[in-house]
Parts: sequence; structure tokens; C-alpha cells
Amino acid sequence: MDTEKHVLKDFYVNMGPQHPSTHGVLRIVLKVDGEKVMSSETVLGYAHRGVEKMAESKTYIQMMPVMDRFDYVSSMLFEWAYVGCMEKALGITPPERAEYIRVIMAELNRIASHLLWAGAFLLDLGAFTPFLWLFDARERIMDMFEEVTGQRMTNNYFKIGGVADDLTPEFFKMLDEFLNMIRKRMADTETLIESIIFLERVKDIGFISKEDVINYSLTGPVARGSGVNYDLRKNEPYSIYTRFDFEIPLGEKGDCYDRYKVRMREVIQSVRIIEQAVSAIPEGPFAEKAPKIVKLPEGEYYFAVETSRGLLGVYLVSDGSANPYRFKLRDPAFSNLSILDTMLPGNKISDVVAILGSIDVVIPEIDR
Amino acid sequence: MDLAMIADSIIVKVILSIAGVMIVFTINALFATWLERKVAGHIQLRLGPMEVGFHGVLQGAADGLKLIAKEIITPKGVDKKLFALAPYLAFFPTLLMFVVIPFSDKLQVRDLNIGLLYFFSISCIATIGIFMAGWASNNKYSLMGAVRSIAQSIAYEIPIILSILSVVIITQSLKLSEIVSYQSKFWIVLVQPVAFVVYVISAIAELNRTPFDIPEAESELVAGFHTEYSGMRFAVFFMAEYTNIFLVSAMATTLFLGGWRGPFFPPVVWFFIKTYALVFFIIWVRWAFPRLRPDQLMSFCWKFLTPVALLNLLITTFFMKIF
Amino acid sequence: MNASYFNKVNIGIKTVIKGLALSISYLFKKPVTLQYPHEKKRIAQRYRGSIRLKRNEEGALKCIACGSCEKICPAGAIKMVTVTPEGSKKKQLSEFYVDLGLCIYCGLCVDTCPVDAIEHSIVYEVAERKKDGLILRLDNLGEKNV
Repeated sequence: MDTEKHVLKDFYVNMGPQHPSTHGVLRIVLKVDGEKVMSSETVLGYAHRGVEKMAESKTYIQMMPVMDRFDYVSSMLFEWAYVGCMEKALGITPPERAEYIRVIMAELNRIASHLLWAGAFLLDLGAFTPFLWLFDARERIMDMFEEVTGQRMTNNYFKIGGVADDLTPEFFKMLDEFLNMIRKRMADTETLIESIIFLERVKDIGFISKEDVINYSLTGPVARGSGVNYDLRKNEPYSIYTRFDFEIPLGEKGDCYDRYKVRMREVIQSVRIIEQAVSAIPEGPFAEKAPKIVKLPEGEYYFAVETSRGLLGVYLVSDGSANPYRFKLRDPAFSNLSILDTMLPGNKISDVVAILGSIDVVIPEIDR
Repeated sequence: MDLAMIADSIIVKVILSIAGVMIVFTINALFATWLERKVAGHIQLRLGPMEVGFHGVLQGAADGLKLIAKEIITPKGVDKKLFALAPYLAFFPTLLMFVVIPFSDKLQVRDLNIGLLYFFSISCIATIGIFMAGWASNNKYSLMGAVRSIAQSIAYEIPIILSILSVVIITQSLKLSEIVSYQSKFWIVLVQPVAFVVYVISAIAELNRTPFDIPEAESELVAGFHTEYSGMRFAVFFMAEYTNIFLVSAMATTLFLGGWRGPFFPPVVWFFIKTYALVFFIIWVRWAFPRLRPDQLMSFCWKFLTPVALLNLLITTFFMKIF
Repeated sequence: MNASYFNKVNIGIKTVIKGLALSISYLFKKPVTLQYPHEKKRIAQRYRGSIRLKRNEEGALKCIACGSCEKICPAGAIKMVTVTPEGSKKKQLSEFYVDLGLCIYCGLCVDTCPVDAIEHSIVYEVAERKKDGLILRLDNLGEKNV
């Protein structure tokens, strides 16, 4: 009998743009054979807004709130990159206290981002409970942000020459409460989650080799999960990160489990940084005097920070007017996502979710 | 005709049985969903439903009303007949399975000689409904969910049957009332703990619940076989799921936990206490673990549960022969 | 059947029991939920809610109608209509629109105001049934923002 005629050829499954596990409008076209993925194609652009072009018609100040809206889960880290770039151009150094406030807020934001990631990642794997345990912790961070910056997510807190407002006593009280509970909550989550089911799901899938990390210019926890020791806070320290004692967690094999573990340990390292910063924060002004109308001197400027997803570089070209001549982001998630298509073939459909989750993408940041 | 004769007549019996089954079914569907949401809520540091009724007990009724009021949508390109039939095919076996459950020494619709066999044969029919739903939906997610569901159901039937066979070998009967009366001195779980554990794990897998919920894995297959269903048809699938939870727990109670037997309270109360303790356990497991991958699910069944159940059956047979 | 198989079973049983025990312990913890419409969260003083214009002690608007806020608003949510009364050189505010549907609550207008005449209230329940309701005018700027 001719059985070949009945073989289902080229069975395509669309993951996204509306799909519960792509966290936004990412679309992955999977060619599958039964449960096995034969090849995949990532389709971008569903959230494209043309922000880089838009920046050319906005003033430097008007772009500040837009910076929050790329990666809305670690918005202050994005603000820092932009503000840092302008400060570099204008030759302004923020006062000591502002630097400390920035570090505290940035690390809190990193924790919030990782907590959200961990929750969503575990939710993709089918575990609902840790998602809400971690969200409880994240909610406390959001409350602190509201207390200090006035907004929970799109903070618009970093200003040229410092920050918008000083920390409040209420904030320190909330921070203390948070630092007391976060270690226990992280330990609890790891105990709950690292059952045999989870370990079987994430171990030994989605390998990224060290060579691939460099070839695809991956950064952040994705690179560190493969054992590449690259963290801007250590390698090219900006602001006052040299003053703090913290480690860069590294993975060994570069599978999904290593990337998960790296992020979970980074949370604890960020907690350590915050504790040191809070005990060492000096009194003084929280912002330097900055010009009301910002005009960068002619030239090209670049500043990079380490966000929760990796290296974020802001590149500004100024022609001396009030609007940037060119605004370009080198964002981590776009580079990190580029490796996805090489990782998926050979895995099961269920693994697609785990692998995509372990890369940690935020779509508006990729599509811009 | 006097009263006794009326009560004896077959029609009255049938009507009373149907009414009884429907009452248990409705109350369970409301209570189990409420319990699930409450347990889930509190494990996750939330409150769960609080608005409708005392601590949200009537939330299930409100949701049901909403689903009844919704338009029944038949998407384009579906096989209309199968699409409409599938939910009911998945649902009716659950009602039929009530027939043999001994709620107490008197309360049992029909005490069949082959009650146990009947129960597990009927439960297999639901799988056809699930596959029909997946096939008729004309949706790739649904189809994959349905295929997964078939593979899973067939695989996990085996450890279930092997584990209850150990019980049958001890009690020497397939009649559920006799199995319960055998347990007047001790519960079978005491001599068959392994069979009990295997039964509960396989039952959770049969129910397609986390950690074995791959047919409806929401992060991979959106909602699996019921992706395209909405309104009352979805509600029927949903009710079938919660009735099945009750039924497998009731069967576990009957087989392993002494059925309706217990001191102080009337038998029916004991039956429901034990059953809902198991229902609670199944719910609790769902909120504690992530889900397995389909291939791991299969290897867990074939490489671990089935050998364990088989070994247990062998040892049981051996001891029964000696003593 | 090798050692790793039994090792896996061993790890499996241990971790599953651990997970079950931990999750049941959380069942008895105090929930953190706020029953929102019944109980409301404490809103931070700096919270950036809907826009309102400030008044001085005499009750007159502090606004000098310079138009800085209109110019800086990245979303174009503020619109200002000014008149210059005869005999005076100063502009006066005749109408002031804030479209909350466009507003991104960034606070740039508050930062830029030279006379501190505009501020964020802590009102966050700004949902409306019609789009028109989202547009704040001079006459309802005060009453909506308690």
C-alpha cells in the first residue's frame, strides 16, 4: 500500500501573535512532525511603533517618558541608559546621593523584572502558585516605586543630573520590610518549584554554547547562563558599582535550568547591593542643576547599562539642535531572541515554551 | 396500589435515582469549583471568590448563569454535528458512572455484580468525546490536545486497572457493596498502600489535571481540545471535569478507604467526608506542581507506574495464595 | 534498570513531598488581597493621578497661560486657549483641555511649569463610559479632581 501519500507533510503551528505563552505579540511559526519541532521562524514587528524615528521629532526631555515604554518591566534601567548618555554629553556628574538612589532603584527594578520573569516562566510550565507568590513580592516593589517616583511602572524618575525627588522615610520602612521577606520567599519558591517535574522539564534542553553567545552577541542572564562572565556592572563599571561587593552568578552548561538559576541568584545579589547601598547612602542633594532646555553639543554619544536582560546601549547623534539627529538603541532582548530559531529544532512543542521563556523577551523592546 | 407498591415500581425508582444523581451532580459541580478556587486562592496568598454569597459560595451558580446566557458559537470550518455532540459525549458517561457508586449501605442506584468493571468501562467513553471535540474543531491546537488526550488515557488505564485488580484479588469480588462490606474490620489502603498511591496518581492523569494536564496545556495548546468551545458547551466540558474528580475520589473511597463506613456520623456523611478529602488532595496537587512534557508523561506511566502496579499485583497474588 | 533510575525515583518522591508540604503551609498564611472596591489602597502622596490646575489663596488660577505644559507634553494631551484682554499685555487662560485618554501621566508638565500652577492629583479612578468624559475642561477640572 502506498502509505506515503497519507503522511502529513509540513504541519505548521502558529505560536502567536495571540498565544498565552508568547507574552505579547511575538509570532513563532513552527513546522512540526507530531510533537517534534522541525524548524521555526520568528516573526517580529507586531508592536512596531517607530520610536527611533519618532525620537528625531521629539525634544530630549520629551523622550524621557518614552524610555519607560520599551521594556516596561525594567523601565528605570532604560531611563538610566538614556539619562546617562545625555549626562555624558553635557558633562554633568550627579551628586553622591543621587548615584546611591539610582543604584537602589535600578536594583529594585532588576529584582522586579526577574520576579516577573520567574513567575511567567513557571506559569508557562504550568505552575500557577509561584507566579503569585513572586507577584506578592513584586507588588511590594511596585508600592515602593509608587511611594518614591509617583508611578508603579512607567516611572519617569531619573532626570539629567540626578533623580526627580528624594527618597522618603516611608520608603525605607517599606524597603526594610521587603528585604526581610524576599530571601525567604525566594527560598520557598525554589523549594516548591524544584520538584522532579520542573527539573525534568528544564534540564538539558535549549543549550547555548559559549561560542554562540559571542557569535550572536547575547548578553545578560542568557550569556551568563552559558558561563560567559560578562556583566557591565563588573566589566565596565558605570556609576558607583565598584563600591559594592557582589558576585556575578554563572551557569555551567547553558541550558534552560542554568538560565533560570542565574536569574534566581541574581535576585539575591541585587538584594545584597541594595543592603550595602542603603547602609552607605550619604546625605546631600538628590540632583544637580540641569538646563531646562536640553541641547546636546554636536557629536555622537554612547552609554550602556546592564539591564535585567543584558546590555542596553543608547546611541545619540546630535547636531546641536533641541532634537536628537539620530537615536538608536542596542537592546538586549532583540539580540537574545535572535538565537531562538537555532535552538528550537529537535525539541518538543512543550519545550518551545520553556526555551522561549528562558530567554526572557519583552516585545515592545524588540519591536520598538 | 398502596404506597409500598408505588415506591417499589420501577418507574418511580428510576425517577428517584435520576433526581438523586442530578442533585449530587449539581451540588458537587458548584461545591468542587468553589473549593478549587478557594484552595487555589489561599495557597497563592489570595482570597478567591468573595462577592457572590458567603465567601463566594454562589460564584459557581453565577458563572453557570453567565455561561447559559452566552451565545453558542460554532466557528467556521468545524464539523458541525460532531462539534455539537462532543461535549455531551464527554459528559454523559459521568452521569452513568454514578449508577454504581455506593453512597451508603442503602443508597446505591444499582448494585451490579460487575460494578467495578462497569465503572471503568464507562469512564473510557469520555475519551471519545474529547477526541471528537478536538477533531471537529478544525483547529491545530485542539487536534494536538485531543491526540495527547487519547495517548494519555490509554496509557494510564493500565496502571489504574492493575491497581484495582490488587483490590479485587483481596476482596474476591467486583461488586462494590461486597468490597465495602469486606472493609468492615480494616481499610484496604492499609494492606494496599502502593495500589492506592498508584490509583490516585493515575486517576489525576486520567482527569487531565496538572501535573498531567497536557491535553489542555494552556501555555502550549491555548486550551487544548476545548479551545474553540464557548458558552454552555464549554460549561458541559467543565462540569464533566469536576464530576469526574468527584467520581474517581468516590471510587477511591469505596475501594481503599472503607466506603461509607465510619463511626458516629451516618454513612452518607462519612462517604462525602472521605470523598471530599480526596477531592481536596487532587486540587491541592494541581496548585503545587508544574506540568510534565508529553513524552515524560508517557515514560512515567510505562517505566514507573505500570511496573510498580504490576509488581504490587504479583506480590498481592503471592500472599493471597499463601494465606 | 540502573542506579540513576532509582536515584531519580528517590529525588522525585522527596521533592514532591516537600512541594506538597510547603504549598499546604501557605494555605494557612494571611492572604494579601485587597478587596478593591470595598477597601482601597493607601495612595502615595507623590502619586501621579489626573491633572489639575492649582489655585492661589484668593481662588484664582495660578496659571499665567505661558503654554510651556502644552509645548512639552509628549502625548499632546494638553490644549490651551488664551485671550489677551484689551488694555492689558498679559495673556489669560480662557480654556484648558486635558485629554486623559492621551495623557501618559509622566509629570513633565508639572516639572516644567514656571509658576507651579499645575499638578497631579492622586485621583486614579478616571474611567469613563464615553470618550468625552475623559476630556477635562476648565470648568470640570476642579470638580472631577477631588
